[in-house]
Amino acid sequence: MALKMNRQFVYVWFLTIFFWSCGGNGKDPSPEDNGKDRKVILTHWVDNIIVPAYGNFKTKFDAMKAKADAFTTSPTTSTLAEFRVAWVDAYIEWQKVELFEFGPADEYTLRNFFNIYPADVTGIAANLSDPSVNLDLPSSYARQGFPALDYLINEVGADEAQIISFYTTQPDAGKRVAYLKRLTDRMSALLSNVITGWPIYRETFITKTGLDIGSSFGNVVNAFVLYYERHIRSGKIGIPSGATIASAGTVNPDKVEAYYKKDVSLALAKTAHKAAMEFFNGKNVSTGAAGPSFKSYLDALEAKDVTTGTMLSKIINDQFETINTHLDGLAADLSQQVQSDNQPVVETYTSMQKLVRIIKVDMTSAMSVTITYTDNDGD
Amino acid sequence: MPTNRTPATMTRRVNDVKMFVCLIALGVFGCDDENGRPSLRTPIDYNTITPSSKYPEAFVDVSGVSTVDLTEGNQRYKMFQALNYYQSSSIAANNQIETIKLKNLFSNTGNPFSDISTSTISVLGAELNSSAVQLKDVVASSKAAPEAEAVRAKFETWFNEISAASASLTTTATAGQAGKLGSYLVDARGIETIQVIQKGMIGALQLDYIGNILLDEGLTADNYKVSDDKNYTELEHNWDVAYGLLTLNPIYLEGATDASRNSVEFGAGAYIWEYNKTGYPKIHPAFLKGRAAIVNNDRSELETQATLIRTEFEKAIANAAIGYLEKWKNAVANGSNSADAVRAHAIGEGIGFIYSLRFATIHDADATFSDNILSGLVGSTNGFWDLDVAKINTASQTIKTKFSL
Repeated sequence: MALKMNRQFVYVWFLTIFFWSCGGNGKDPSPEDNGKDRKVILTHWVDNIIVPAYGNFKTKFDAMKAKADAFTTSPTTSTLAEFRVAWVDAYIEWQKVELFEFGPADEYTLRNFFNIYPADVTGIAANLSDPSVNLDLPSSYARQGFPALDYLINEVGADEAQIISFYTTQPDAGKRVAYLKRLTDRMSALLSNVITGWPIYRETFITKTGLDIGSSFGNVVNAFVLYYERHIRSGKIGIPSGATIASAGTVNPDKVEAYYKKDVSLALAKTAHKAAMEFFNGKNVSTGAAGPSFKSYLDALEAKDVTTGTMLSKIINDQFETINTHLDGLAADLSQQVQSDNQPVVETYTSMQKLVRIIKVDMTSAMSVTITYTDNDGD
Repeated sequence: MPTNRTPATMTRRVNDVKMFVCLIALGVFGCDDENGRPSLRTPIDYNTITPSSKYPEAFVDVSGVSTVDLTEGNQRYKMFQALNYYQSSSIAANNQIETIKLKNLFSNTGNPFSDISTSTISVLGAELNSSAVQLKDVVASSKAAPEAEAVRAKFETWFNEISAASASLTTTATAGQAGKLGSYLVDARGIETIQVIQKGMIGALQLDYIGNILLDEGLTADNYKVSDDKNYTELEHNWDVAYGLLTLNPIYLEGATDASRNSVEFGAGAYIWEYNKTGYPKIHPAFLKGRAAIVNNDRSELETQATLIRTEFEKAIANAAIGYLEKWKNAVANGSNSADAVRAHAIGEGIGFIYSLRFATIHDADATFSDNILSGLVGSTNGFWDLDVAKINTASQTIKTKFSL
């Protein structure tokens, strides 16, 4: 008996040394059991959410492109009206794919070329007279994409007739038509790059199942949180309302999305918020059914609030709904809303900030995913 | 003693024999070297050292006196801090930066150091001035003389460039015009030189001296007699200088989690945590275990730990380079810094880390590797201002391929 005890002691002692020397390999359990298999989640994302969502966006975008071409071929009040309608449809649908800024969209930085606002009106004016200007540079981001189109079809004349004449009878009309065409052609080409990139990237995406920096799951978590924090919370609500620390309480009615169209900024924000919520819940874009997702993963991990015992996924979904309620109380034109009654917009921001804190800290911590996009080195 | 052994007891007997061999192997650590010289120290059972052991207290001589002296490593660490602080405080205060001052801080010439006391830096100028060490003579010292001199000259070129740019501290920078972008000082090509110097120094000073000197050829130093008037052997001291050049803390990254560092670190010490989340928890244990292996004259274990530290250090530098390129891609305005300012800051850091990759010798990177990436990235007339996503992706992919990331 004494010998046996000794032997066990020696084993434990030896194993301790062994594991100490090999430490650090136990971090990624690669869970195989139900709900924790990240490959299932990644596969669902690409096949049932990302690719179909881009497909839906492409349909709307191509429709807009056709109307844009009709307008540039023949700028009339009717082609302008149709272009404008199609632009709104495509811009709304864009909100359902802008969150996928990883993989091919990250490679091409699609967002930078599709939706950096407010539009750089001075820059657009300069570009109109320079047909060879380099649109790849960051200085050109706000001179193209949906925000530039917003300006070019809604703001370059006091009324429709003047906008038509901007592209027909005024000096440099030809250059302006060419720029408009160049912008929509460019968006079309970039979108094609991303859409054709996904089938090629798919295998890499679904097989990099770790949680480390550079893993697919880690990239998606980072892209999701970054998007919600910077582009929904700050971009659509925080900066216009002056609620972000940087805006320091100064309202910026001219920094809303779709500033020149005026009455769609809220619809764009609501669509983006809804898309984020549906992605969190793994909603299949084709069938509408919930699927493998951040939610199912958190539930499989049994992530809960330690004090109340409430499931973390429920806390997050409840917060999404709270934000929905806030958004429902806002005017269709956020630019007008922040000037006439800013308080509800600030409150919307506050509720979004609460969500950001939960998904950026609690969710990532529960998932053992590191947020890499912040620059916290303090230099 | 039973006569019929079941297969299970047979297996156990075999395992017991294996165990015995293992224990013998452990016991060998304390033995003499191949020339029969006796070990200087009492062997350390690796199991008695835990990751929470304080480095300076974990190693003592027979009379219980510490054999660890971190002074030399810490002094160079603080010189690096002081070199950086001179630039950062000048930029914040819109004060001209003098080339000669930077050169003197680099080479410890003419009592260049003065006291610094901030929440994260504590430097006594007199101590550094009277020390026998400097940064310049160890920078790139693993390289053959012409290349080492070229690296030192490169830093001095950057000193000239930041000094020249600092004449425009009150100007807004644009393509072709040095000045400030938000809080950052950039040169006429949009390069934030302070970051290039700082991140380049992480490679040229810390990675090269720790990884390619102290933890490489430094491991062949004598370990059988104490140095004159010292309580450590040359080999022990080499390892201690490496630790002291990485961190000022007795436990590197004590209490760190992936989300929060929870301790003050600077230079490499901060970036290993930020950009190698699987590697950083291994570094302090590896320094302890390697130091114990020195005590035990356990060459194989020593080399294992040295290689681990070097490998994880290099991975952090490569991940940092990629990480800053990625920050360029998704930059947005932040506080008083425009998106351009955020991008410039990211690229300044990225350039410095990419420059540092030439010292990642475990991964076979060299000057040509680094310089080719930098040339493709910011080699054009207007440098930063000409950057597009294709250039960023090319640089990033080249690093990912080389480092299998």
